[in-house]
Amino acid sequence: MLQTAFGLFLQTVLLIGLAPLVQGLVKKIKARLQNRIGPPLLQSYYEIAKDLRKQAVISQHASWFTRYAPYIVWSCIVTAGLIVPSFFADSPLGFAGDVLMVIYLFGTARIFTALAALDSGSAFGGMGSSREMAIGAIIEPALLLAVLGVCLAGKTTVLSQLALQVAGQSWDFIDPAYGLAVLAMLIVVMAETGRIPVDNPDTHLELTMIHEAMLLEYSGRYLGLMMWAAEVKQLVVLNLFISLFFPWGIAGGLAEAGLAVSLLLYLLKLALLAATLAVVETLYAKVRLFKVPPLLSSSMALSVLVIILRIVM
Amino acid sequence: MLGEQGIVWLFAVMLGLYACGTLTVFVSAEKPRAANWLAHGFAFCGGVCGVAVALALLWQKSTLNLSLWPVAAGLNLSLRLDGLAAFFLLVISLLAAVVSIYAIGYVSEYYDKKSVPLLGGGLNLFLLSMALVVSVDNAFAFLLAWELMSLVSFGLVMFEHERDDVRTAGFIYVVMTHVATLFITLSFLALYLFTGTFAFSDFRTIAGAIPDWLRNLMFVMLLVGFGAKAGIVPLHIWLPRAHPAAPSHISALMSAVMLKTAVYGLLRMLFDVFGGGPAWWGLLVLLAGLVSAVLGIIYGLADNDMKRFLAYSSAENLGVIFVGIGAALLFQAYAYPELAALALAAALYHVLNHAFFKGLLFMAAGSVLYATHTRNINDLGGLIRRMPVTAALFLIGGLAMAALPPLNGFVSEWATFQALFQLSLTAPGFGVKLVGALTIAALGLAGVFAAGGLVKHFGTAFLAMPRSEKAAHASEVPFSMQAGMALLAVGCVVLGLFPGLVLRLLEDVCGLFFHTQLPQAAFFLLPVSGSADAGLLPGAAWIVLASLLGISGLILRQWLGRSRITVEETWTCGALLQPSMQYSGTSFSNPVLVILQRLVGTRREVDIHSHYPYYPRRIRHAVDTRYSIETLLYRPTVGFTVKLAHKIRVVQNGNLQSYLAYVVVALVLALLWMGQVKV
Repeated sequence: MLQTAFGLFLQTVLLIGLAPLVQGLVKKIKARLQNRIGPPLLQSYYEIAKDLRKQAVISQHASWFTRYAPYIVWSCIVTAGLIVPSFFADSPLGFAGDVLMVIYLFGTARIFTALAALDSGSAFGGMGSSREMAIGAIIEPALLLAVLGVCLAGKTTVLSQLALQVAGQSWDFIDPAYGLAVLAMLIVVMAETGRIPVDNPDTHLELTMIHEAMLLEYSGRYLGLMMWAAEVKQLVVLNLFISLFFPWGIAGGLAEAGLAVSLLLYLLKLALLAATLAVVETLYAKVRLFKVPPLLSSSMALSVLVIILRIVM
Repeated sequence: MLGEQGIVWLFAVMLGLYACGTLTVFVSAEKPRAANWLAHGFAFCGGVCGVAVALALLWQKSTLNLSLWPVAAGLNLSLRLDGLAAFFLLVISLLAAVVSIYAIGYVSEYYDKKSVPLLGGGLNLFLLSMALVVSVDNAFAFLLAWELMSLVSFGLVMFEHERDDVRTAGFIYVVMTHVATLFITLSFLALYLFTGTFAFSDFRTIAGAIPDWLRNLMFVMLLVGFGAKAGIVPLHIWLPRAHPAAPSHISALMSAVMLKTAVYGLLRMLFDVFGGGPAWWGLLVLLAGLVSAVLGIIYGLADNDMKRFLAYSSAENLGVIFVGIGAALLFQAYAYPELAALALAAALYHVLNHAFFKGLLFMAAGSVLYATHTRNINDLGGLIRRMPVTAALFLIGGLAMAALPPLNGFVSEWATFQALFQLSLTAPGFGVKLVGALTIAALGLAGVFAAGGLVKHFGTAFLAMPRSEKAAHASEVPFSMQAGMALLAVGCVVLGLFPGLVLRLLEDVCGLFFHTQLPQAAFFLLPVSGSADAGLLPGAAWIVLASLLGISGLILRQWLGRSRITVEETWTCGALLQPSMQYSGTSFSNPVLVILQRLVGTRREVDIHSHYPYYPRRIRHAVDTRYSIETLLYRPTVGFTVKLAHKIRVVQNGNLQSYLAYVVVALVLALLWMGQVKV
C-alpha cells in the first residue's frame, strides 16, 4: 500500500517533471538540425511557469466548460501515464487498468479538448475540433492495432507483464513481425504526439493546425495546463513505445535491484526517441489533411500484417 | 430477502399495476393532469415492483415458475422467470420506473393538445407487453406478447400522427417489425412441427432431434427476425425513423428497452433452446454485430437531428452486444465454457449499460425538444447556460455512450474487448483468430465515431452562441424531468464503478447456460479469465483521477493564487462574432464525411448567387448523404413488391361479376376438397 502510494507519487512527479524537458529536447535537436540555435533546453518549463501565473482572457460566450476542461484533460493524461510503465515495469496504477484503458483515457482527454474548443464559438476552434475528431477516429484504431500485435505475442493486455516479457526474451523477439510493428507504432507515435507529417506543433496557420487550433482561445493558466497536458501525453506515448518495444534493462519494481541502471537506460532511450522525432520532423513536410488517413491506413496495414504473422507463428 | 411467495405476489402486483395504468385511457381527456399522474404513478410503482422481483431472483439465483390456466388444449399459459428473464425484467423495470418520473414533466407538453390518457395508458400497456415477452414460457404466448408490444409501440410512435414524417416513420416501422415477427413465427412453427406443443421446455428437449439443415435454417430466420427488431444493420432502417417520431420518453423506452427484448429472444432461443450451435453461427452473429457497430454509427455521422443520431448509435450499441453474443457462441462451440460465460456477461453488461445511457440521452434530447421545440442542432446552441442541468446530464450520458472511462460504457466495452482478445488467442482456426483481433480495432473505430458524434451534438447544441430565437429563450425543464435523467446518470457512474456487482447479478444467467461460474471477484473489480491477476479496477482509476483533479487545482490556487480572468470577445480577426460564423453540425462532420466519401456517398451542392463570382451575395450550401444500403437493398425490394402488387391487382378489379365468380369457384373447390377427404 505504502509502496503503491510512493510509486504513484514518484511516477507523477517524473511524468509532469520530465515532459517539458522532452519537448525542449525535441525542439533543440530540431533547431540544430535546421542550423538554428533554437530555444533553450528548459524553454518549455519557463513557458508553463509563465502561463500558470498569467491572467486568462476568456470569451464572453464561453461557459464553465472552458474553465474546467484543462484540469480534466491534464488529470486524464496523467492518470493514463500512471498506467504505463516508465523505468520500472510495475507501474503504480498498472493494477487498475491495461493498455486499453490508456487508449480510452486519451480518448476522454481528446473529447474534452475538442468540446472546449467549440465553447467560445470561434470558427478556428470548430475547425480544430472537427479535424481532431476526424483524424482521431483513424489514429485510435491504428494505435489499437499496433498495440494488439504486441499483446497477441505476450497473450495479455497488461502493460507491466508485456514489458517484462519482451525484456526477458533478450534478442529472440527481434523478427520480421517486430520490425513491422515498430514501424507501424512509429507512425502512430508521430500522429498521437501531433508531430509533423500529421500536425505541426509550431504553427498557427489556419490551413494546417489541428491541436493548436483547439487551444487558440485559451490563455493564462488554462493554456499552461493544456500545453503541459500535451507534453505529458507525448511523454506517455513515448513511454508506451519504449515499454512495448524497447524495454531492455527495465527493472521489475521499485524495490528491485538495477533501478539506477534502468533509470539511466530509460533516459537514454527517451533521448534517442526525441532525436528520432526531431529527425523525422526535419526530413518530412506536413502532409495535406486528407492525405493523413492514407498515411495512418498504411500503419494499420502494417499492424494487420503483424497480427497475421503473430497468429500464424 | 423476499420469500418465494412474496416474489410471486410482487410479480402479480407489478402486472396488476401496469394493467391498472392501462385503464387510464378511460380517464376523460379533459383531465390531462389527473391522467398524467395516474398513468405514470402506476407505471412507476409497477417498475419498482419489477425491480424488486428481478433483483431478488437474480440475487438468490432462483427461478420463478407460475402455471396459470390452460388456454386451449395443450396450450397452458405459464410464466417462468429464470435468470435470463429476470435480468431482462430488471432492465425493463428500472427504465419503466425512471421513465415514468421523467414523463410526468414531459407529458405536460401535450396538455390540451393531444390525448394524455391515451399516451399514459399506452405507456403502461407497452410496459406490460414487454414484461410479458420476457416472462412467458410458451412460444405462442411469446408471439402474442411480442405482437402486442409491436402494435402498442407502433401506436405510440404514431402519437403525433398529424405530421407527415411521423406517418411515414410509423409505416416503415410497422412493416419492418412485422417482417421480424414473420421470421420468428416461421421458426417457432417449424419447432412446433416437431414437438406438437408450444412450450419452451418441450422445444428444449426436442432441439437435439431436429435435422441439421432445418436447425440452421431456423437459426438464420431467428437471426433475421430478432436482428430486424434489434435494429441490426442492414435491417435498421426503421430505427432512425421511428425513434425520433415517437414522444421522447417513448423513444427512450424503445431504444433502451424494446430493442433488448430482441436480444432476449435471441439468447432464449440460441442458448436455452438450442444450447448453442456450430461455430459458424457464432461467427455470423459476430460479423452481423460488427457490421452493425461500424456502419450504424457511420450512417449517423451526417445527421443533424439529435434523436436520429441517438437512434443510429443504438444500432451501433446493439452491434456491440451482438459481437459479445457471437463470441459467446463461438467459445461454446470451441468448448471454452469460462470464456463463453465471460463473453455473454460482457454482452449482458452492455445491455444494462446501454439501457442506462441511451435512456438518459433520449430523455436529455427530449428535454431539449421540450425547451426549444426543435431537434435540429443547427438551430440550437448555448443551451449550457440556460439548461445547465440537462447539459451536464447529456454530457455524462454521452461520455458513457462513447465508451469513455470512467463511466459504465467503457467497462462493458472493455469486457467485450477482452472476450475478443481471448478469441484471437484461443480459437482453433486462423480466420476466427484474425476476426477476433480485427474486431477489436473495428469496435475502437466505432467508439471514436460515437465520441465524434457526441462532440458534434453536445458542442453544437449546448456550447457557444444560440443560433435561433428558440434556443436563445430556452429555459430549464421541470424538476421531474431532471430527476428522471439524474437517476440514470447516477446509474451510469455506479455501474462503471462496481462492475463486480453486475457480474454477481449475471452469475445466475451464465451458470444457466454454460455450467460454469464467472470468476468470483470483489464488487469493484472486473476480472479477466486467462491471467489471474489481470483485471479492470475502474474505482482505483476514478480515485486517482479525482485526486489529481483536486490536487492540481488546489496546489495551483495555493501557490499562484486564484486564476484571474478577464472576459472578452472571441477573437475573429477583428470582425464581430455572429452566430452564423460558428461551426455548425454540418460543418463539424464534413472532414470525416470527406474521409469516408466512398462509404456514405456524400453529395455537396453549392449555389452561389451573385452578379460577379468573387463577390457572392448569397451562398446556398447543402450536403446530402445517400446510404448505399437503402439504394441497393431496399429500393429494389420495395420496387419488386409494388410490381408484384400491381400484377395481383388484376384479381381485385372492382367488378361485381368477377367477385361472384370467385365465390362460386371457391365453393366448388371447397366441395371437391371435402369430397376427397371423405373418400
